[in-house]
Amino acid sequence: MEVVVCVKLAYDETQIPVEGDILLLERAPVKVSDIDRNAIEEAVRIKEKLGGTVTAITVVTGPYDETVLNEAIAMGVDRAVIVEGLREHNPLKTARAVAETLRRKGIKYDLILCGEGSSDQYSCAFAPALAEYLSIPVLTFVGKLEVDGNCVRAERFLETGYERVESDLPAIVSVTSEINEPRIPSVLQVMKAGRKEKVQVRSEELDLTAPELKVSEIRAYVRERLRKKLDGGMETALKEILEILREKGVIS
Amino acid sequence: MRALLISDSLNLPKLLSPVSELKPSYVEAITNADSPVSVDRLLILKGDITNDCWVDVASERAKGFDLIALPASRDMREVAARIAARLGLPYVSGVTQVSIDDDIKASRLCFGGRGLELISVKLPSVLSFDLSAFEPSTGSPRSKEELGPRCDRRMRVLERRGKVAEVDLSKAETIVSVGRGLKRKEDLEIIRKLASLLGAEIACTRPISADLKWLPEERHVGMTGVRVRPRLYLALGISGQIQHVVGFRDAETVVSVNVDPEAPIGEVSDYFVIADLYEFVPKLIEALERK
Ligand SMILES: Cc1cc2nc3c(=O)[nH]c(=O)nc-3n(C[C@H](O)[C@H](O)[C@H](O)COP(=O)(O)OP(=O)(O)OC[C@H]3O[C@@H](n4cnc5c(N)ncnc54)[C@H](O)[C@@H]3O)c2cc1C
Ligand SMILES: Nc1ncnc2c1ncn2[C@@H]1O[C@H](COP(=O)(O)O)[C@@H](O)[C@H]1O
Repeated sequence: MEVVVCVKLAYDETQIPVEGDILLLERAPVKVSDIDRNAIEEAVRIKEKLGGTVTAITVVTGPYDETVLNEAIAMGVDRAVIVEGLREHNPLKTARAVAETLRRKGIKYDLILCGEGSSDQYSCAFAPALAEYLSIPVLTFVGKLEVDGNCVRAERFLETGYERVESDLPAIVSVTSEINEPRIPSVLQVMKAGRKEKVQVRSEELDLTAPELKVSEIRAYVRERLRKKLDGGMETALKEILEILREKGVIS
Repeated sequence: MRALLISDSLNLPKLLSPVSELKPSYVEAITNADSPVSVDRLLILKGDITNDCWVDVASERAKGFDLIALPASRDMREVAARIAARLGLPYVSGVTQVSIDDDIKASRLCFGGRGLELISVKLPSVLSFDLSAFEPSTGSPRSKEELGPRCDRRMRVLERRGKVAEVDLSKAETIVSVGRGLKRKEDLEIIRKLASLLGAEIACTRPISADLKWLPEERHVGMTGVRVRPRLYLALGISGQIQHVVGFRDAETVVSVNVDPEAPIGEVSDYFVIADLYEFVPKLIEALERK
């Protein structure tokens, strides 16, 4: 089974310093987009069960940090493909870059895995767009997956319930965080990951015709709160809370 | 401006609200059951409609429209991106606000809800709307037609297990919300008791509904769940990760209870009680019953 897993590196949104309504992105650390770790875990489990290889592809559309990529590789990826030169957030263009890379580099795939949505953008647009560009089936928001011969069976987790679905391979599957518990590689594994095969691709080598988006502004979306700590013991806290409940008209 | 709406019948009345604000000259909607919306034309798809079908029908029909609008539900986010890719149109997902001059200007959340970005795209384009802040706009269609589309099915649906939504939390005035600070499903009983004394609805974080399945999905608050705007949000045993916090950003007052004085929820609360919820909640219930 040849599995390709799509991995995005992103600023860690939990650690972006905020000044007024400005997000200081340059000061935020980089991480593997959360749910992509579930996608890698699933890819590696499939390889462990059925044999084959796992290829990770990342398109550098934002921050890049090789040690962070090595953390992802250390989970059990055999080789990584890094597409550079695309500096914008446009999931359709990213999907086009991956489709083009697969084609030009002759990378084989039976199954392509990715996250339901990226931790910075959460467009949930990459997998469906890639499926269109490659003309293969897509199964989105998958919380349970089973590969059976030439076919995948999956459970899709939707707002309105569950859907059991199947499709032929090759196919693209976007996974939700409920699908598995990603393994945490050891320091030694991360060091070794640095020696795994890495293929560099420049975006200029690719035909990236995709519709344009223009991001004109990003600002912090936070709301100031009173931030009053009630740590003067249970009785005092209770009294204050009851007072607030009364004030808000929750109780009389 | 000509708008084409693509939506399941339940979300359609809400989806019409942001689109109407753009003053379209003609509005057509493709849906899967009759819906009380005042559009120029309502096309109702009959039969078992999978995502492959929505994409085929909508892409066929989209020619000549300036705006293609969908709800940002899980299914429709897939459909929207595929239509855009197939037709070569720009796509913006999860739009919270939109305006139009020559171009479309759309706002959406980013960085888990920590940021808000403004994106401009040229028409024609595809937008999926985050509908949690919109009210349904109802009326009746000027014309109606039923279609029985024949579609190419790449994905086969074997079984559907639907659930009927119990509540719409976006309307709740008081909310008691629980996170993983709750240790066992049985302990929801004390939370229910507290909620009933406060006349509150119960909500939760995503792990409680999605991983543990202790509460139904429509009670999970946050970026991937509901956006709520109560007068009071009481957060019990919730760490305060940004993806959850963005869901109660518009609450008037936030009170939280957490054992960990360093928990990030403290930074986004008006009142932060540092306590074990298993001690605090019974005491609060007792005090409320005493009155
Ligand atoms: C793409 C993406 C989208 C997401 N969307 C959402 C979303 O829409 N909504 C959402 O909620 N999450 C979402 N998440 C998950 C989110 O990042 C957090 O993992 C989640 O909100 C944490 O839930 P929690 O606070 O219940 O659990 P935890 O983070 O485990 O926190 C539990 C808290 O309980 C406290 N505690 C423990 N015991 C007690 C006690 N006895 N009394 C009082 N306090 C106690 C602990 O100190 C801790 O702070 C998303 C994640 C991703 C990657
Ligand atoms: N730049 C990228 N490089 C590799 N994979 C990506 C990239 N952007 C998005 N993806 C994949 O697509 C998923 C959904 O991303 P998005 O459509 O941005 O929400 C992510 O979880 C990744 O698996």
